[in-house]
Amino acid sequence: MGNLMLYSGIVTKIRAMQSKLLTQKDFEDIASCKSVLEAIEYLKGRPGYAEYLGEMDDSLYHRGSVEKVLYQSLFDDYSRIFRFAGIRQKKFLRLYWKRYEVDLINYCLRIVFNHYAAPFDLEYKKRFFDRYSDISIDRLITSANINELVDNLRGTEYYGALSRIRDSEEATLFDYDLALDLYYFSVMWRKERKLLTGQEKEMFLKDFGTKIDLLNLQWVYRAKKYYHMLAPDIYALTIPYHYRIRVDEFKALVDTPTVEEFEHKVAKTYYAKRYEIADSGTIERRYKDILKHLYVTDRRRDPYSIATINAYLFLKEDEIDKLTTALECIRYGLSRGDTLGYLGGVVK
Amino acid sequence: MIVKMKFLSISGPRTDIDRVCEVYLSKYEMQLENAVTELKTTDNLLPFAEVNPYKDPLAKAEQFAGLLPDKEYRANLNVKKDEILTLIRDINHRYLELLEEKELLTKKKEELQESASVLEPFRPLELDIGKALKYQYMQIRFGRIGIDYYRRLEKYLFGDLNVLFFEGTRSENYVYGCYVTANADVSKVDSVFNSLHFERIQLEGGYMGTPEAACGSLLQDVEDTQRKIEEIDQEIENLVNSHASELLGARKRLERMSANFDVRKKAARIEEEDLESYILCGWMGEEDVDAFVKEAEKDSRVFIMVEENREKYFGNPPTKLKNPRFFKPFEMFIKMYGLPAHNELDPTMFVALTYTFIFGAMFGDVGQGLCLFVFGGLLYLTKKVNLAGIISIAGVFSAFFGFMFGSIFGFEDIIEARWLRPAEAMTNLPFIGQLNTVFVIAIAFGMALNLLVMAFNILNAAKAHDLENMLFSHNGLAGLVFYGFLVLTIVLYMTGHTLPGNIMLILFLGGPVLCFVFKEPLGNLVRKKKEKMKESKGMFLVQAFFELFETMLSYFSNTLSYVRIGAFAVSHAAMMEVVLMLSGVPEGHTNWVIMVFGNILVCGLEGLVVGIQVLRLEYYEMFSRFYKGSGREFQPFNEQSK
Repeated sequence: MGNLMLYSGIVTKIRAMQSKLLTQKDFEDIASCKSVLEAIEYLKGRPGYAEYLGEMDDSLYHRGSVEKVLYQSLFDDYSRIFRFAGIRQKKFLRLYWKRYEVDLINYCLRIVFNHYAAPFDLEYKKRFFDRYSDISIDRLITSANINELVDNLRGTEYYGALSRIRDSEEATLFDYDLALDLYYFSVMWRKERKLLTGQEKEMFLKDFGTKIDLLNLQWVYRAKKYYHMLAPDIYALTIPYHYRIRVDEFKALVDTPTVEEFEHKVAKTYYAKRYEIADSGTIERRYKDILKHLYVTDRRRDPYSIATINAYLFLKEDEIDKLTTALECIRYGLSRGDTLGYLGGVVK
Repeated sequence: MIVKMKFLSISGPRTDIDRVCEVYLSKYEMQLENAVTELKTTDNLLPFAEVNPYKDPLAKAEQFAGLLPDKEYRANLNVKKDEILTLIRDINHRYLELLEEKELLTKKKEELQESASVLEPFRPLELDIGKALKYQYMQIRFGRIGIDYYRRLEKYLFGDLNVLFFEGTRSENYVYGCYVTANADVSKVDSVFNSLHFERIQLEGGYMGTPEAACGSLLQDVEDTQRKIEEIDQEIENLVNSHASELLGARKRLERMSANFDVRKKAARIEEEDLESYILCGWMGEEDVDAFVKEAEKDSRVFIMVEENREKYFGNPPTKLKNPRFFKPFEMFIKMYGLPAHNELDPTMFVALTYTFIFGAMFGDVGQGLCLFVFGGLLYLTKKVNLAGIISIAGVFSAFFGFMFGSIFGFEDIIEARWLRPAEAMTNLPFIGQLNTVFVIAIAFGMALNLLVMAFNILNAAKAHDLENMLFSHNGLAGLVFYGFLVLTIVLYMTGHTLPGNIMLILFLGGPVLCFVFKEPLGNLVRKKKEKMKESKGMFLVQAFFELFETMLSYFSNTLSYVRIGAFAVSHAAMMEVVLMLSGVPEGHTNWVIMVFGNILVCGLEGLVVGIQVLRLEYYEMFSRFYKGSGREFQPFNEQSK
């Protein structure tokens, strides 16, 4: 009952927000659009994006600016949930926000490393980061090179991890990315979870552990399939924590000589047995499907809990991902079938 | 008193300038003026352009003297100029040698420390480095690995690799240690460690024994070097110590010589037919001039010219105060306000007398007064703090008024009041009613002082030949008549006598008022200058009206301001009454702690407030009426160079 009282408001709020999410039918309609403009017009008719796209100037109808608007709607949703949240839920949400911070830093690293001429163009995120994060976008956007970027992160938790890479010199974008991701996952797994208690903690462990395991599988798969990497190198870039995969199981997976054998072994893991996912899609799609399955079942099992927030944010992010992919497909003139294939993660 | 100044110029052969400074200017105080710009009447004046040769030796001497430990040394002043310069040069030479040696040792120490710090993380390892690096069938690699990667090694890889890892120490981010592997596996193991970002640290083969021992011997070397550095420091100290008294003497002499040399900045030189000579000019007190001229009469190489009546060529002379020792501390107050101009009265004595007298009246207490006298006096004699001297003298008057008011440490019943008790004595006055006697006396005293400072102003104006100010201003003769007559009228009224007749009133009050109003035109008249009025008549009258209003207000407020003398006399009694009450004197059991503390508090607090209030009376009520304070201070040459 305690939870019911604690979560009744926020769950109701999320239910209302959920009704604005796009349905499978919507995606099918979008996939059949002939141009980006047409797709945008379609989105204007959907309650979730009408207010953002409605305000937009016609001249800005470009994929890039539409993506910005999509993110704005995600952050707005986050803010709405945050406002409705109690103290314990806010703790959880603050941890959740870290992934956006990591995304942001990754984005900046990319800009700095690739010497894009374009400015950072982060104004639209500033409002949210000023409120929920230690990172100052105002400072970040002044960085002209990697040293300045790292310096501008001084005072945030990420500074330590990144400055170490900087000190080792000759680091590539990949090293920074890796360091940042590893820092994020290990800190979240080892330290931050201690901030949570009770049900939130349980939920966090389950979600985050699953995520780590799946990401590790994904990375091992990619390393094997595309880069033919050796075992020690693979160990260096995976997250050294495991949830439902045992260490020896993981070692065996890493040591497999071929991709086929790897897939064969994966089929024997907990995840393959637990979530009977058809192995038709790409590994990325499977990863999403498993998480989705996890979140949605959690929510169904215990609707008055943090699972509802978790699931909603996941669905919203997934939706934005899919929309972005869809707009790209439309831009490059793919057929409806192909587009839908990309959205479902199945390319025929 | 202001010392009368004379302007004089000294000249002689150019080479003689240092001797003149040394012999005469160190004895007689003289404020030098820049001869090149001041002596407008002489042509062909050139500035001296020589570099001070004593500057460098002086800087060195100061540096070495600064190295001396804080001990009393007797400065040896009997060293000749050449000997001083040689001494400084020799010491400097040796000092630089030692410094260089020290520099080398410091560098060596840093290198040793560097190697030690490289070795430091491996100290717990128990193996002989020298031997280990030469193993025939095994390879050993020292280095460090990120702690995250080390965990992965432990977790996934150590089980399958033919390698032994010996951990040395751990820092926050790294594990230091070495791994050992057989020659056959070395490439595989190296590649694994490379993948996990193992950073090799090259150790030189020269080390013997375990890292612990090697590190220890390195640290021993560091210590030895440090000891040698300290020895050099000691040697430097000995070097300066052995010449301590010569060095101090040299410093003092060099300071003098350098300062005397700098006299050239103020001097001018003249070239006339192979004969080069210098000119110095400046101000000197009259008595000094006489003595100086007398002494230099026999000196054939010095020519002195005393300019008697040409003051306007050289600007106004500087002001040098000369007062009896008793009044000397009060010069501080004058300097704070501004020194008197050369043709003004020196108000030091006046300030000294009124300040102490008024202070005493406001703070009448035998006990506290004597405390102020004793402590102030001690402080003045030991530390030469002028303010303490002033307090001390004020304390005497405080004690005097304490007798008059019958107050000792706040006790009003121990001694008899010789005169009156400020809080109780009352006077009946017509029109006003009953009033504390001290208030009435304070006002009367204030009126008298106001009249006195007006008289001073008239004197000052007369000295400065300022007729307008002397006759017509509200502090001049007109003011004196006006205010004096007003005072007279009030005194007559208060003492119950008949008032002066109306004609007298109109004459003595109306006349001066007209003077105030038409001050400027009247001033022009007596100066026999014909200046047209700048403003229109209407504006003139409006301005005159407001000025008159302000003048009247200033008479009124300046007079009433003196009430504070009485008020503080009363408040002192009241404050001490509170202290007595708190310490329980009326009940018969006295708490002496509160008593003493209360006395200290009141003494400190009231002393401070009264001191400030009296200064305010001096500066605002009195000085504003007669004193300008626009003089400049006399800065004798040999003092300003110190």
